[in-house]
Amino acid sequence: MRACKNYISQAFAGLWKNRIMSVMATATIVFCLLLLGIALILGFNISYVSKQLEGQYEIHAYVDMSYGIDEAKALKPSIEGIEYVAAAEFVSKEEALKDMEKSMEESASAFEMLEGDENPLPHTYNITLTDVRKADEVVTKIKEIEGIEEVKNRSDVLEKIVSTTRGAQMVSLIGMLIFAFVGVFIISNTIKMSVMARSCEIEIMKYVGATDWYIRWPFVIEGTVMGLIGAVIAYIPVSVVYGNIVSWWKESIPMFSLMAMSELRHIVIIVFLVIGCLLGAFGSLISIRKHLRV
Amino acid sequence: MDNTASQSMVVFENVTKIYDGGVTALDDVSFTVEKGEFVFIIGPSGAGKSTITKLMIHEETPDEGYVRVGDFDIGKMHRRNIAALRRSMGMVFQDFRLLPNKTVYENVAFAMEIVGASNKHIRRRVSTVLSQTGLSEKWKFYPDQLSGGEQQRVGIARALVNNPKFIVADEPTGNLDGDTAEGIMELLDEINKCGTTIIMVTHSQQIVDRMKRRVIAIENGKLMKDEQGGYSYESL
Repeated sequence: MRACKNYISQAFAGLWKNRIMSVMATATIVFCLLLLGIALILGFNISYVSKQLEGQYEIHAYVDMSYGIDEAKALKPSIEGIEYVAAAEFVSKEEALKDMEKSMEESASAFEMLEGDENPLPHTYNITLTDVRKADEVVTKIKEIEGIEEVKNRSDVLEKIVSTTRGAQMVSLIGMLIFAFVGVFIISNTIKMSVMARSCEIEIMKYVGATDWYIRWPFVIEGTVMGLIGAVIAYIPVSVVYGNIVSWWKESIPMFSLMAMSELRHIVIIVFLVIGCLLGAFGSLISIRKHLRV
Repeated sequence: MDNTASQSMVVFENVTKIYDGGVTALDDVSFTVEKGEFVFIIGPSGAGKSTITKLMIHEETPDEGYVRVGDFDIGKMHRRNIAALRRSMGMVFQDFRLLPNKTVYENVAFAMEIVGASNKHIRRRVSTVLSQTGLSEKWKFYPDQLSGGEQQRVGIARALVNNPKFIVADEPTGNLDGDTAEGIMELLDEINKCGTTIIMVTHSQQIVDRMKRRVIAIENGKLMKDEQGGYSYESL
């Protein structure tokens, strides 16, 4: 306990004594976390937007033209019983015709001729999935149901969504790793100056029998404190700027929305605190390593 | 290891140390230091004296031979035990190696804080050691407010504070004038009389002549002489 108090007081004394270096190292952590924050928010939003697009994705199953409405409706349990089917919405041929009329109002009169037995449209099921990656599997199973004439599946669009999401997530993950690596490198070099200023002290500590961890702890705490401060500072611009982007997006691009800051707040705070502290602590550990070889 | 060697404080057996670049610092050196002895290690610059102290504190390891300090086999011990090895001894340096931003008291107490001693124990022990080294009046002073001799006394107090089994002093009088050096030697002599083994590396013929203790002479990495009661310098 006394040793802990000692480490903490040494760490704060070190922070104050080398305050210019401490400010520089903290600024580096802030910069790294800002970049990390951008990559993180981008990654989450890519997943979020692609989920929305996936949610809008539907398979259309057309019922055999010879089936009456009751027979067609009876197919619903078979379709919904297929794995990965979230819901199967039945659209009768009459409803389908009305929808078409609505979308083509200027030619409404032409549709009057198609009512009743002349209706060329089939009864349809609009099917949504729990996992769009399983679309091909689901389509095969739907085709096996007796009474289903044809199944339409925009697999090209789907593949594009899935591959774009995966690619973007990979890029943002690689980006985050690169920022973390560069961050540790820059911070370790900044802290190294503070360590070098105390190299004489470290050497004496080693000679009088201090353990490596006795020497490391104050520096690790120093780095961690810088990480904590850096995380708090970096969170402020990220939350303000991103909050404004979300509001602007809502008004300008209403087709799909971005994740609200309130949904991201916890994860951003946790990631910033954890990564900030780790950057500071690892930076300190790396910079002190050489000086312990006495 | 024979029984005699196991009772010795320091054992060097056929020790050879060759640095990178092929410089032979020690060549088949053997000696033992018994409990309570006061031993001088002498020799010209580059003879290998510092390598002996470096081996004793595990700053270096032997390339050949066996080095034991207390219970520690220097060639085989793990890095994590270096702290324990160094806590078992006291080190005194030519350049004092005091922390300039700490007072006399703090410089000495620091060696006890490292081993996790309680505040009460630190206060009591530091006060005793400062009195023993004649620094009671100077406990609040910073190193730059002290003379060279006083700074070295702080170094000795720091080496002594954890009750080490032995003290390794590397040229402790090297930066001091004659009278001050004499004062330091008197202090080391007193410490030795209280039972602490002392191994001292020095250049000073005067000190070696006056103290009339055991002398190990090293030249070109070889042990040239190991004599009790002083040393005759004609061969060096």
